[in-house]
Amino acid sequence: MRNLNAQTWAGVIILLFGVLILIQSFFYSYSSNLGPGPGMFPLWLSGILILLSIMHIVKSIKKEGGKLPRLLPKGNDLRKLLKILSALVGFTLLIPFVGFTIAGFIFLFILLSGEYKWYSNAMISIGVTALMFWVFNGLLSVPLPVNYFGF
Amino acid sequence: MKIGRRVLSSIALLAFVSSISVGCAKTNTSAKAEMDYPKKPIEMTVGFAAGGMADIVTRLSVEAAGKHLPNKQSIVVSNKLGASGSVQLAEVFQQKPDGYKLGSVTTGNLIIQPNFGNTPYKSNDFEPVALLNTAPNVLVVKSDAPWKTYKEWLEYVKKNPSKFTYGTAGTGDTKHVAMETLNVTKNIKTKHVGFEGSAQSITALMGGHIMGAVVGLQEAMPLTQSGKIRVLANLGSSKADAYKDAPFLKETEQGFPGFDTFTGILAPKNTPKEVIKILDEAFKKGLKDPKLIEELKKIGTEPTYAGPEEFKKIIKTSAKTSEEIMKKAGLTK
Amino acid sequence: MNSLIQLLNGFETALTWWNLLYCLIGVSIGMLVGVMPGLGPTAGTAILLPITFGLEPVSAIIMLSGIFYGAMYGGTVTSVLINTPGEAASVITCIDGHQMAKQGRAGTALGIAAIGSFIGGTFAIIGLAFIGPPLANFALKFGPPEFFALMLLGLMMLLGLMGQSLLKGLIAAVIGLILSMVGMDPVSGTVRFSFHQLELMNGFDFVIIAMGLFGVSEILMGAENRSDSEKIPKIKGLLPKKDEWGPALKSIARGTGIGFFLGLIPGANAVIASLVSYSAEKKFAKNPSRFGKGAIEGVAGPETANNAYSGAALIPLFTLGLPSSPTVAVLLGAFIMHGLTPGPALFQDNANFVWAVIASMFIGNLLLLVMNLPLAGVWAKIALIPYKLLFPLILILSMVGAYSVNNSLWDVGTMIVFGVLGYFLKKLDFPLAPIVLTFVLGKSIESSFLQSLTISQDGFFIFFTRPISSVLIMITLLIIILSIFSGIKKKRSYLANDVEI
Repeated sequence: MRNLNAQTWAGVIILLFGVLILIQSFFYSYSSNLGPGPGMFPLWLSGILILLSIMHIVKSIKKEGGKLPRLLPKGNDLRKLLKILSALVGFTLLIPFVGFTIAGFIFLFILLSGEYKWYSNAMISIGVTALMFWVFNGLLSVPLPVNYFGF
Repeated sequence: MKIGRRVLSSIALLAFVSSISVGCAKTNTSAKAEMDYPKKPIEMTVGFAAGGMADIVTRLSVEAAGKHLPNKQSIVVSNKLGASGSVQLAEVFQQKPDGYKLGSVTTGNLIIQPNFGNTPYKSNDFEPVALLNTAPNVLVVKSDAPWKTYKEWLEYVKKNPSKFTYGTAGTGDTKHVAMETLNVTKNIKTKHVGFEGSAQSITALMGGHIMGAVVGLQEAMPLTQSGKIRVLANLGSSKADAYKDAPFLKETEQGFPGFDTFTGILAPKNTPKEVIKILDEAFKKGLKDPKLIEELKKIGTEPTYAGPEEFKKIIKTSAKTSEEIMKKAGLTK
Repeated sequence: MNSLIQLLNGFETALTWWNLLYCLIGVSIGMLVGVMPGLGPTAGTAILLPITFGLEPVSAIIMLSGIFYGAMYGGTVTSVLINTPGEAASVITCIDGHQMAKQGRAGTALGIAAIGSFIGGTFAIIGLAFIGPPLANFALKFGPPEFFALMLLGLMMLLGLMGQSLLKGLIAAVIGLILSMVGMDPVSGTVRFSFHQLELMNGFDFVIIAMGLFGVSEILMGAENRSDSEKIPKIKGLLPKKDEWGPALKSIARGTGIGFFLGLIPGANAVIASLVSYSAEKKFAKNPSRFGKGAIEGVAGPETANNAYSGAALIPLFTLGLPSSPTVAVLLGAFIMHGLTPGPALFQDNANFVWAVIASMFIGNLLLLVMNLPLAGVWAKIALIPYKLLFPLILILSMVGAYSVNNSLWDVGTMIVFGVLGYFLKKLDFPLAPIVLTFVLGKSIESSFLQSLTISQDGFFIFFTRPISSVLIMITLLIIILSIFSGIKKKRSYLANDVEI
C-alpha cells in the first residue's frame, strides 16, 4: 500500500466523490418540459469529474505527478496541527453552552500556550476576546452567542 | 454571585407563582404576578436578508412595539438566512416556549414551504402573536406592452397558450403560487421563469426578456411611479389602494382566493397565554404609532394588525387554500 | 455643461461639514466591514439602514453608498496579508497580492490597489454623472441568454489561466461547479444534494468556502512551515518601483474599462470583472511568467476593475431604478424609505439630491485614498506581528466572521471542514482559486441556461439568434480553438512557462 502515493489516493477519493454525486443525480429528473431538468448539470459534471479523476489516477501511478507530498507532518508539527484543529472544533462545540467570551478566551489561551508566559497569555486572550465582543456586538450589532449571563 | 442569586430566587418565585396560578382559577392577583415578563431582552429572528421587505417591516414594527413592553425590556432582531426562511423557522420551532425567542415569518416560510415537505414544522406548529403587515402580489407588464388592461391580457393568453412568460422571485415563491392559481382557475397556460429574487425578475422584464412578472406591491412601486411598468391585476387577498384601476381578482374572478405576502410574529408552540397577551398588547399599541405608519407609508405599505386569534385563522385558511392549489397546479404531490 | 454646473452645486451640499462627516463615517465603516472576514457591504449597509431613518435623505444616502464603495477598498487587505479573500471580487488578488506580501511588498500591493481603486472608482462616478443613462439602457439588453454566454466566457478565461497542471485545475473547477449545485435550484425548485440537512437547502455561502479553503487551510499549513521561524521580510516602501509604474498604470486603465463595462450590466458580478481583468493583464504582459509570483499588474488590474465595477453598478440603480446586486438592493430600499424613487425621473425631480450624492462619491473616494495610502503601511506592519500571536487572532476573527454571515454555528463548522479540505488539496498541489471562482459562476450558468430555454421559442437557437449572446459565444469558441491550436504548436514549452492559478 505504501507504494501508492498520496496523489493516487486523492484521485481515488475524488473518484468516489464523483460517483456519489453521480448516483445522487439519478434521483433528480434529467429532463423537464423545458428540455434539461435539475438532474442534467449534476450528471454531466459528475461524469466529467469521474473521467478527470481516472486520468489523474493513471497519471499519478505512472509517477508523472512528480514529487510525492507527505500529507501529514510528523512529531512536533503534527502535534501543533492537531492542537489547532482541536481548538477549532472545541470552540465550535463549546460556544452554544458557555457563550462567545468564555469559548473565545479558552480558544486563544490554548493556542497561545507554550508561546507566552501564562499571565501574559491570559491578558492577551482576555483583551482580544473582549475587544472582539465589543466590536461585533456593540459596534456592528452582530449578536454573538452569549451564555446565560449575557456575555 | 449576585446575578446568580437573583436568577435563582426569581426562578423560585416564578415556580411558586405559577403553581399558585395553576391551583386557583385566574384571579386578578395571579394575572398580575404572571405579568412579570419580560425580564430580559427578547430575541427575534428574521428568515430573510437584512434590508429586504420582511426585514424592514419587522425591524420598524419591533422598534415601535418595544416602547410598549413592560419592565423597559426590548426585542433584539437578527437575521438567520437559509432555505427560503425555513432554517430560521425550524429554529423557532425547536425553541423553549418561554417567550424569549420569537420569530418573524412571512407567507413564504410559514405557509408555502411546508407544502413541499422539506420542513420539520407545519404551519400550525406555532403560537401566533400578531400580524404586522400584509401586502398583495401584483401582475405587472412593461408600460409599452400591448395589453392595457387585464381583460386584453386575458384574451391574449387564452388565444396564445404557453406564449406569455412571467418571472418571479423563484419557484415555489408565493408569487409563483399566486400566478399558477390564476392559471388553474381561468384555465389558461403561462410560462414561469424563476429568478433569484424579485429584483432580477424586474430587471429581466425591463429588458424585455420576459413578458410579465409577479412582484410584491412595494417592489413594483418605484417603477410604476416612474411609468416604466403597469400593474395589470391584483393577485393578492387584500386591496391595493395605489392601483385602483387594476382589478382585484379575488373579487372579480370566481374561485380565485388571492395570495398576499404577509409578515407576522410567532412564538413556539405552548408559549403561555399570558406571555402572548403581553406581546400582543405591545404590538397592538406599537402598530398604531403614527411614526411607524409614516415610515411604512414611505415604503408603500401600512400596518395591518391582527391579534393572535385572528392571525391563527388567517394562517389556517391560507395554509388550506395553498395546499389545495399547489396540488392542483402540480407544484406538489 | 449643464451637468457640470449641477455637479458643482452638488459639491456645495456634499461639502457641508455634516455631510462630510457622514461620508467619512460611511467609508470608514465600509473599510471595516470589508476588512472583517465574513461581513460584507450588504451586511454593513443593512445594519446601518435603520440608523439613517432620522437623517436627511441626502446624508443617509451619502453614508450608505460610502459603505458600499468603501468595502471594496477594505476587501483587498485580507487577500494580500493573509491570503484570504474577504469578498468574491478579491479572490484573484490573493494570487499575486499575497506573493508580494511574502516578498515584503505588502505595502506596495495595498498602495497600488488603493491608487487603482481610486482611479477606477472616480472614473466610474464620472461615467455615472455624464454618460450613465444611455449606457444603462443598452445594458438592459443583457437577458438570461446573454448572461449565460458571459458566464461561459468567464469560465473559459479561467481555464485559459490554468497552466502546467491543467488536469488538476480542471478537477478543481468541476468540484467548484458541483458545490454550487447544492441547495434549491431557483428554476425548478428542486432541492439538490442537501442530504436532508435544512442548512444545506440554500447551498453553501461563498464567504464560508473562501475563508475555509484559503484562510483556515493556510493556518493549518503554517503548523509546520513556520516551525523553523521563517524570516519576515522587511517592508520595502509603499510605492511601486520606477519601472513598475508604467505597466501598473496601464493595467489600471484597462481594469477601469473592464470594470466599468461589466458594472453597467445589472446582474453581472464583480468576480467576472476581476477575473476578466486578471486574464487580460496576463495576455498583455510581456513576460507572463511573472504572474503568480508577485506581479504588480495582477493586483492593480483586478482591484481597479472591482472598484470601477461597484461605481458603475450604481448607474442602473440611479438611472433605471434597478438594483444590480444585493448591496445595491439595500440602497434601493434606502432610497424608497427616504421618499425617493430611483429612475429617470430622479435626475429631474431631485437633481440636487442626485448631484450631491455623486459629488460625495468623489469626496469619499478621495478620503479613501488618503486613508488607505498611509494605512497600507499600517496594515503591512501586521505582517510583522509574530506569527505565533497572529495566527490565533486570524483564526478567531475568521470564526466570528463565518458566524456573522448567517448568525449560525453551522457555517463555522462548514468553514472548518473546508479548511481541512483545503489543507490536503494544497499539499497535493491542487489549485484552489478555480474552486471558488467556478463556485460563484456555477449557479448563474445553470439558472441563466434554464431561464433562456424557458423564454426561448425555438430551443437552443436562442443563444445564436440574439446578437450579443452569439458574439460572446463566438469569442468563447475562438478562445477554445486558439488555445488548442497554440497548445499543439508550442506544447510543453508554452505550458511550462505558464502560471498556475
